[in-house]
Order: sequence, then C-alpha cells, then structure tokens
Amino acid sequence: MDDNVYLNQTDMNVGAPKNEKEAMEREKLVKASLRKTKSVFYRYMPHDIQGTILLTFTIVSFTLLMILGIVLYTLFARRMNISSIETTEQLMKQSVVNLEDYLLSMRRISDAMYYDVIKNTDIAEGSVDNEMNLIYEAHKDNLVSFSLFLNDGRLISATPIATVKEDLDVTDQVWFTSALGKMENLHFSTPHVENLFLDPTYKYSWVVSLSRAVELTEGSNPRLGVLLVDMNYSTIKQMMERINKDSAGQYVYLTDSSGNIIYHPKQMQLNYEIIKENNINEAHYTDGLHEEVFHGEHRQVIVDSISYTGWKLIAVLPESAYQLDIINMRFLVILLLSCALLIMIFINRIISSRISLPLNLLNRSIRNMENGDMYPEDIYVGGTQEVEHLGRTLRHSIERINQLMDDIVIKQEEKRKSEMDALQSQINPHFLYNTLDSIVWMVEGGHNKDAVFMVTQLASLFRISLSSGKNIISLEQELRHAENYMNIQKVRYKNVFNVVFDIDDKIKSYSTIKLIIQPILENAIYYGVGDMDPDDGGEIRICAKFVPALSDFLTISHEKSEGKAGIEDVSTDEMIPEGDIYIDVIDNGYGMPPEVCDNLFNEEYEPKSSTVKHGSGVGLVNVNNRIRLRFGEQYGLTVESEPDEGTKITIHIPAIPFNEENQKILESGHYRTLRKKADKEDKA
Amino acid sequence: MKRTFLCFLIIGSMAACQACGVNEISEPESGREIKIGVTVYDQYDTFISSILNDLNEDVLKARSETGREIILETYNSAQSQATQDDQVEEMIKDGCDVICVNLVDRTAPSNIIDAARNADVPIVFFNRELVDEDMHRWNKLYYVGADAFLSGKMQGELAVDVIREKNVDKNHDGEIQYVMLEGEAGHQDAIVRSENCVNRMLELGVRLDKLGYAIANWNRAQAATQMEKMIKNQGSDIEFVFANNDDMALGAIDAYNASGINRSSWPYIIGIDGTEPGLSAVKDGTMVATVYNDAPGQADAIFQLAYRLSCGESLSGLELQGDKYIRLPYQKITQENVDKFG
Amino acid sequence: MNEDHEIMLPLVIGIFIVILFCLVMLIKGTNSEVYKVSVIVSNSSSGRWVPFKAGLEQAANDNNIRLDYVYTDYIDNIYTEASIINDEISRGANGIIADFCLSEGSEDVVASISARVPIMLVETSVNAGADIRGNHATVMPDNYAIGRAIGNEVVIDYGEELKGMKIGIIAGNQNQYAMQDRLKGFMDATMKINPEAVWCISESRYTEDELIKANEKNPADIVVGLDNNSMETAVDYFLGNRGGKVKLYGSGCSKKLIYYIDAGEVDSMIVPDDFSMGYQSMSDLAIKLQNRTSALVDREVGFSVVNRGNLFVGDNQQILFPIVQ
Repeated sequence: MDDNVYLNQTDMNVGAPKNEKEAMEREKLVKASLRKTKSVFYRYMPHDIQGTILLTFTIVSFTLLMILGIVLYTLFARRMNISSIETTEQLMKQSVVNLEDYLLSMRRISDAMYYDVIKNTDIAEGSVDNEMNLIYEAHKDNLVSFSLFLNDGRLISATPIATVKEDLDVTDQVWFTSALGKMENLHFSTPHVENLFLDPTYKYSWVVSLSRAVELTEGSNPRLGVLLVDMNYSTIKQMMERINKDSAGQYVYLTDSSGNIIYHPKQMQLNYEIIKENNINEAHYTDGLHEEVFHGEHRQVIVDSISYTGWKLIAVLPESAYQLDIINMRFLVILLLSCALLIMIFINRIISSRISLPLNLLNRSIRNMENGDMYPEDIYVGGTQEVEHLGRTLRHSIERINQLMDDIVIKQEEKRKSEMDALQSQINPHFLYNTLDSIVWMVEGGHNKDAVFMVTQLASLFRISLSSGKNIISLEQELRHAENYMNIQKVRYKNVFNVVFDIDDKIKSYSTIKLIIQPILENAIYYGVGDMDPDDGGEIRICAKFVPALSDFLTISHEKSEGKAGIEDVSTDEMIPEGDIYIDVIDNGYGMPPEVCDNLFNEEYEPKSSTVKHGSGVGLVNVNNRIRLRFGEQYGLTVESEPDEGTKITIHIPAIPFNEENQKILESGHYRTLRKKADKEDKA
Repeated sequence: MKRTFLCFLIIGSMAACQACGVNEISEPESGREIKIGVTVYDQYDTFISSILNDLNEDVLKARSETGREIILETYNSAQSQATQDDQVEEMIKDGCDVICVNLVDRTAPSNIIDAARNADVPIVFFNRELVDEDMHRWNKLYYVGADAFLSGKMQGELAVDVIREKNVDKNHDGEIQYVMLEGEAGHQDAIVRSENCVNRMLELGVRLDKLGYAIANWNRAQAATQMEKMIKNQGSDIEFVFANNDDMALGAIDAYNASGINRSSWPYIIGIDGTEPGLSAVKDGTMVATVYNDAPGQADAIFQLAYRLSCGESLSGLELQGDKYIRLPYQKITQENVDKFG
Repeated sequence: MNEDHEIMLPLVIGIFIVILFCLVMLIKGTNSEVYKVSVIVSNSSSGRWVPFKAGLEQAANDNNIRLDYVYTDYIDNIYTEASIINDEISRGANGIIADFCLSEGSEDVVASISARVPIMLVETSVNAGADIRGNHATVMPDNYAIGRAIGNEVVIDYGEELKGMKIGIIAGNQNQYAMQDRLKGFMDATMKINPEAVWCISESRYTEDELIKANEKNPADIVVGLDNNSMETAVDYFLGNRGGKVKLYGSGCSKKLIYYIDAGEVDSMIVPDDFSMGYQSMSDLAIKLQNRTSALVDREVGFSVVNRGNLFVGDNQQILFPIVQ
C-alpha cells in the first residue's frame, strides 16, 4: 500500500512539468474548440428578426416545458410509487384480515373440539370419534385431519379414519412439543407434509398444524393431551396466490415469527436456492414500510403481522416492479414534451413572423431602393405603429430625395446647356470658318454645284442645331444632322474616308437628345480616319438599331451585365414597344490605346501626352454625361477600341417615342419620370 | 423569466401547503394535563372493578401529590371486542396519552395495536395477557398482571392443605371428587389455573376424581346456574369445588345456599383473586381459601406505568420483565390470615 | 425566411422522429414475445413426472414462457414421438423438451427438429450429430452414478451375504442410453460380490407379463427397478403378494413409490432431482429462445437417497412432495 502511494507521488512529481505543458496545450485546444463552436454557433445563429425571435421563444418555452416536464415527471413517479405502496398496503391489510379470520376460524374449531367434546368426555369410557368426525365433515375443505394424542404420544382418536403409521412417534414432532411447551396457547406450525397416517391412495398432504394442550379425563383422572388440527395448506396457498395473482414484479409472502417461510410464490426455487429471499431479516422488521438493498437490488418491503400467530405477511416491491410503468411514463412525458415543443415552434413561428413581417417588407423596400428603385409608392407602410411610422418617414424622405434629384437634373442640365453653348460657340467658329473657307475655294475653283451642296448642308446643320432652342429632337433629325455634318466634313477632308449610314427606319420616330452623334463623328474623324491617306480606305459606319426589351428589368440587367456584346443575340419582338436604341459609330482608323479608351469618360483623367487635339475629347464626355443625366445611369456611351483596327463607340439610349408630350417631359427633367408614367399606364 | 418565477412560486406554495398539512407533534411539557384511557372487558366483574377503584384512588392521590391534572377515562366494553376496538379509537381521538386495555378477546388485539401504533399511543394491557407474538408487534406495548401459573399452583397447594387437615374425603374412597368452575374458554388464566391447580395436587400425591366441569365465564350468576346443574347431577358426591376466580366460587356458594343443603355437608369451595366479597366469604368460612390476586398492586403498577409513559419519564424501577411485563405475585389467603387483606 | 428554415427544419424533423419513437415504444410497450414450449414425455400423466412438471411450470412462470405439457400415452416408438413433436412445432411451438424413447439411431430425428426449433432432451442422452448451433442439449442425472448408488444400497444391506442371492433386474427402457448406463453402474457396483443376476428385462408394454414369466421360471430374492416405471411394476407385482417375499431396490420419484418407502415395504430408493431437471431444461430453453445467439449446453442434475428415516426431514419433503402450483 505504502509503496504504491509513494510511487504515485513520484509519478505525480515527475509528471508535473509535463502536465503543465499538457495543460497549456489542452487549454489551447479547448480555446480552439471553443472558438470553433463559437463560430459554428454564429454560423447557425439566425441573423434576422424572425429567426432570433423564433429561436429565443423556442428555447425559453422549451426550457419551461422541460422544467415543467421534469417536475411533473418526478411528482408523478413519486405519486405512482406511493400509490403502488398504498395499494399494496391496502391489499396487505385485507389479506391480513382474511388470514386472521381464517386462522381464527381454525382456532374456533379447535376450541369447539376441546370445550364441547373433549372436556365432556372421559376417554376411558366414551369415544370422541363421532363428534370429531362431525366437526371434520363441517370443515372438510379446510382440514386434512383431526387427531387427539395423549401426552405420551399415544393416539386416542383421529379422523378421517386412516391407518396410523407403525411405530409412529409424534412426541418429537414440533407441533407436539410446542403444544405441551406453552399449553395456554394454540400453536401454528410451519407447513410440512403430514406424517401421521398412511393413505393407500398415495396421498401426501401439505398441512399447517394447529396444536394445543388439552386436559383430558381418563377414567376420572385428569390427564394432559394434545389436540392436533391439521389445516389444509392449500387454503393458505390459494389465499396467497390470489394476492400474488396480478402483480407485476411485486409479491407477497408469509413467514412465521422467526422467518421460516410459510408461503412464497417461488417456494420451490427458494428451496433449490435458485433464488434468494431476505426472509430471516425481513421477518424481524417492525410492521410498516422498509427500504432495503438485497442482492444489489433496491426494494421496498411492507411488513404486516398476523395476530396471535406472530406470522408476518411481507410484501416485496422491487424497484424493477414499477420500472416498466416508469419507462412507459418516461416515454409519455417525452412524447408530450415533443408535441408541445412542436406546437410551440409553430405558434412561435406565427408570432415571430407577425412581428417581423412588416419589418421584413420595409427592409425589402429599402433593399430595392439600394438597387435604384426610388419610388416612394413602393415603400411598405403598415404593421405595428412603429414600423408604420418608419415606412411613412422613409417614403417621405424618398419623395424628398426624388424631388431634390429632379432639381439637380434640371440644374445640371442648365449648367450643361450653358457649357454646351460655350463649347458649341467655341467649335462653331472654327468649323464655320473652315467650311466657309472650303466654300470659298469651291466658288473660286468654279465648283459651284459643290458649293451649293455645301451651303445647303450647312444650313440644314444649323437648323437642326438650333431646333428652336429644344434639347429633345427626333432621331430622324439627329441623324440628318449627323449626315449633314459628315457631308461637309467629307468635302473638307477631300473624301479621304467613306461614310456609311446603316439606319433602321423604325428608330427614326424615337426621341433623343440633340447633338449626341455629331461630337462622336467629330471624334472619329480627328482620331480615326481624318489623317489617313485616301488609299487606305478609311470608313466611318453609323449603325442605328432598335432592341426591344424582353421586360424592363431583364433588359436593363442584361445590358448592365453583358454590355452591348450580346445585343445581336437578343431576339426582337415587334409586339413590345419598349426597348433600347443603339447607335454605333464605327471607324477603321488608328484606334486608341487602351488607357485612353478606358479613361475616356473619366473627367479627372489627365492624359500624359497631349493626345487631346482640338479639345474634342470633351465632346464625348459631354455626350455621355448628358445622356446619363437625362435617361439614367444605365445609358450612355461605350467605347471599344483596338489600336490600328479602329474604334467603335456606341450610344445607348432608351426608346422613347417622339411626340410632343414625351418631348415636354424629357425637356423638363428626368427620363425616370417618363418611365414611371409608362409603368402606371401599364398597370392601369 | 417571469413565467419561470411563477412556476417556482406555485410549486413552492404547493409544497408549503403540504408541509402545513402535517400535524405538529407537540412535545409533552410538564404541567400539562394527563389523560389516561382505560377500557375493561366488563366493569361488573368484581376483580376488574376493584382494579378500577384502586386505579381511581391512585389517580386522586397522584393528583393531590403532583398537583397535575390527571384525567382517567373509563370505558366498559361489555364483553364485545368490536366495542372495545371502537373505544380505543375514540380514546386516541380524545387525545389520551396512554391507554390501558383489559382485552375482551385476548387473541384479537390486532386492531387495537394497529390503531395505537398509527397514533403512537402506548398501550398497557392488564389482566388478560395476549400471546408473546402479539406483544412483540410493537415496542410500546406493556402488560401488567399476575403470574397465572403461580395462582393455579397456590390454589392446588391450599386445597392440599385443606385436604390434609380436614375430612374432605367424605366417602373415604381415597380420591377427592371435584368439580371445576372455569373462566372463559380460551382465557389463558382459566386454562393455566385449572391445569396447574390439578397438576399441583397430583404432584403432591392427592388422587383426584373429576366429576365435572363448567365454564362460567368468570361470572357469579353463571357459576351459580352451572353449579346448580352439577349439584342436581352429582348430588352430595362433590367433595371439592375449584373455581378459577372468587366470583365463580361465590356463585357456587350461592347455588348451595339456594339448594338448601345443610351447611355441614357442603363441599369445600376454593377461589382465586381475593376480592372483597371473596375475603368476607373466607372470613365466614363458606369459602375455604382463596389466592390473593393483588388488585391494588396491579392498579398501582398500571398507574405508575401509564403515568410515566404519558410524561415520557423513564420506566426504570418498575421491575419490567423483558421491558414489557410487570407480573405481581399472588398470596395465599386462609381464614388465619384473611384479616391482613382488604 | 430561408435562414430559419435551415435550423427549424431539422429540428422539426428530429422532434417528429422522437414523437414517432415514443409512440412506437408506448404502443408496442416492452412486453416481449411470449414463447411457447411443448413438452413431450412418455405417459405424461404418470406420477413420475410430477416433480419434473412442477419444475417446468415454475421455470415457465419465471421466464414468461407458455408451457404446453402434451398429453401422451405410453410411447415406445421414436417415429410416433417425432410425429407428436412435429405436430407441436407446426402448432407453433418455439421450443421442445422431450424424453426420447430411443437413443441409438435418432440422429435424423434430432437433426430435423433442431434445424427448426431448439430442443432440450431430458432423462436420457441420444446419439445425435455434432451440434454447432447449440440447438439441442441434454439435461439428465448422472445415470451411471444412479446405477452405482442402487447397487451400493444393495451391497450395504447385504454385504457378503449377497453372494448367493438371486437378483432380478427390471432395467427400464434399454433403448435409452440412460438405462444402459444405470444397468452398467449397478453391475459395476455389485461386481465385487458378484451376485447371480437371474433375469434382466427391459421395459416395454409387456413388462409385467415378462416379469411374471421370468420370475416364475427363476424366482429372485432381490428385485431391482432401475427407473420409476420398472420400480412401480416391481412394486405392483411383488407387493401384491403374487411374487413371494422379495426385497425391492431401485430408483424413482412418484408418490406411489414414496408411499411404499413410508410404509416400510421398500427400504431405500434413489430419487433423481426431477424438479431441477424440469426447471433447468425449461429455463435454459427460455434463455435460448430469448437470445438466439446463445447455445444450449448439457447439464447434469443431482439425485438423493431416501429411506424411511429421512423422508420427512427438512428439504427432503420439499423435494419429494413438490408444492404443485
């Protein structure tokens, strides 16, 4: 022992530093796993209101249910235990009464035999056989035999008449000695096989002997004798079997005062020591309920005494007896808990969605707003007071924002207009000067016809440019303006390049902002084909086409995501008037280096080399801004350029039919307003 | 949280209610009144009534000595065990601190023991002894009585003295013709007294001839009737009458008085108990002798036991045998010493 | 909305599973199947089976088995017995306990039965094939020892006087190994003194006639009955004052034989522990039925020597006169 202790101690000492390290490592591990669980926890933690409410409600209600369930279960289990004990006690009480009654009636038989028959008879003269037989017949069911012995063991009388065993000695049988030992009492023996008579039908009966000392008169002389009543053991057995009949696991047995078993449901097994019983100890318990552990099994024992005999009726309730019921109840409790939990979840779901739905709707409105849909009508207003107030406020603020935006557009437009005017006035004199110079040269050279053409084109150009001060014109006009411009430039550049118009006739009736193509053409000439040799076959293509939208949103997103590359793929549908217009200006000139191309619309970009001649880059930016301002962010210019291959600039504008009303709306502000109007009409 | 709290609150209050339901067990404090319940099988039994009287006197004496209020509740079961069971229940309900029981049926004390045990009220049995097995069912059961074996033996010895001194054997056949008047069938005193008396005489060499016996249930009137029958049957053959108690002996005397038989040819009559009328019968010679069953002594023992039990005092000094039994000795009474008694 | 579905859906499914499980457990409960075991012995109502039957009933009760104690007449044909067993199996018996009337050549019968249900053989072992599955086993007393014990009783009573004695033996059913063993044991025990065995008859339907014939031809002084039936036949014949004065020895357990001991007609008898035989066989079979992977194993039960003196002593009375439920 001591050695072991010592060893253990040294072990511990040696192991201490190691342990420290281990502990640290373990701590680390724990921390890591904690972090992991934490992250998992956060991963699965709901982040929305409904989820949070639902989870919280469910956890709270489940906890409550669990507590309730456990409390109920404990109470119920205790109750069940108590009630089963009570039932058994009741049963025991009844059985004790029955047994006592039975034993009393047996004593009465003995009394009757003694006081009414034996005391009145002188055994030397008369015989008690007849009376004995009479009493026996009256109680045949409960009796096996009746017999009267003298105190020397000699048999005086017995019934039912049977052959007495030869050399039978009763004086050493227990019933005989105890009767003479305490002669004022009656004595009940433990069950035994009757060993008095020989029954030629090979019958051997289990009996309980009731014996008493009697005072006999033999020829006037008082003598002592023993009266033996052998009670049929099966009566007691049947009584006990009835008690034990429908019990699951629990049983009742009977012992005498010193613990010898009188009846046990498993008497044979006990006898063969297949099972064990705590009978010797239990017989010495006081009456009432006891708890004990016998052979490792916890059990409750109820003891009751049978009066006069000192017999003990003992009920044993092993824990396993109501284990089955308790297991069943456990399942029932779990079942009820789960059902309640399920119902809770559903109810909580309804409650949480009730609370969170208005918030969610409001949130969705805000999300749409982030996507650019700034329609105050779309903002959700409803739900609880607070949420409704939030919605209303949001709606108001969006209305306000929209208003402010419109104001900004107008202001910007005005600003741009003045800028444009300034630009135009900058450009125009050059252009006009050059053109007029060309015309002078033509007139001088005698090319009158050409001069006339030039003048006509110039006049047309200016008419459209002015357009009686309007900013919105039809595409037809815009394209004619571009054509006029190109015609003039072609002459000026002595036809070093070709101009091809490829126009879809459909588009001519749509609206556009004026002077958006001309700056691009100007750009194409300056940067592209203007400086080329006539032999190089420079060419500027202007393609304009209408792309109907599948649906407003789809088209927009499509455009946004894929640019114009997929335009050709989009199948057109004549039925849908909505759509977009694309005008491509393609030249096969020198092209632009990528960095120039990329930063074409970046107003802050300062090119290192002064590639910007004539300040015409400003024109592209200008056009882009104007389109965007007027129609929205998704519209504008896109540029694709490949050095030495050419440049392709695409103007993207919405297809808005050109009429006075639209013109007016567009003039006054935002394309979006127009769009909304269209939506509304659609809905209506 | 609120709900949980409420839940606990409800459970807590439930538990509290249950706790309140349990009766408080009050500690016996000195100066409190003491209630002693007594139930007897038949208060008209001479011996029992003398015990009751003595008990009453003891109570009065103790009251004046200790100055404590001692109440003695006396019930008569009138020979019905069922009545007695009810009376015990009633006494328990009344709040008796201790109950003294003179059983009707000594073989059926179950209900009384159960009731007393449930209420934790100790019981002092007296005069009628229950079997050992029943006595051991609870540790607060006590018995006060006399040693029945001794009384039978003394009766036998007294009878032998008489036979030796006087001319009892009237017919000179060398045998004493006798009749036996017995108490209740099954009563341990009856069995033991009869048996031991006869045995003792046989032991002392007296030859006996039993002419008859009768069960007179300790009762004077019944004994008289039974005796009349036997006088009719046996006539003057009877030389000795043994009675299990004085009442029955007196009954026998009554029967002879009524029969008109000459006083000189009466058989010798012997009783047990030494009750008041018995003693006077011994004095005037109608009863040859009796055995003194110490009624005042028993009453005193009962009272002492009951008083100490109800006060929770120690029982030491009471000469308890096996912690349960108090047995008082008998004394022989003959004409010579009769004046010392009563 | 979708996020909480992610958590709640498995939870709800989990709860449903728990509910279903509980429901199934509640409805099905824990009451396990009640197995039915049929017991086939020759002449089932004979008094010799009373302790055996008591053991069977107790074990069946303890193990929650439905016992079917089949009523039979005298069986001396293995095929009759096999057909009774087969009938029982087809009537739904989950296990069989049987006393085979033939030991040699019953391999096929045992094999065909044990292939279907576990079978417990009592009283006698049989010649059966190797039992890999543990589907059959034997519960019986040590028969050789019983034979020896009978022989010893004779030797103790007579000592050297035995030399000239004529002994008649009713040797039980000699088709059973058990009886062969007993006979061998008896012979071995008496070999030293070597009394003259004047006749030895095997039990059959006509034992009594054979007995009368044999004894008339060559009367014996001592008659030994090696089993209960033999003993009873001997008792009937010799104590009915027909066979003259002989001393009886043997083995048995019926009340009839005990009566003759009690009456002093028979001095002593070997009583095999039939209650244990019944209890053991039934509880082993119950374990086998409730746990199919377990194997049945052979078991031996004890026996005791009773005489007039110890008949009612202590435990003996419980063994000799079983309290039949």
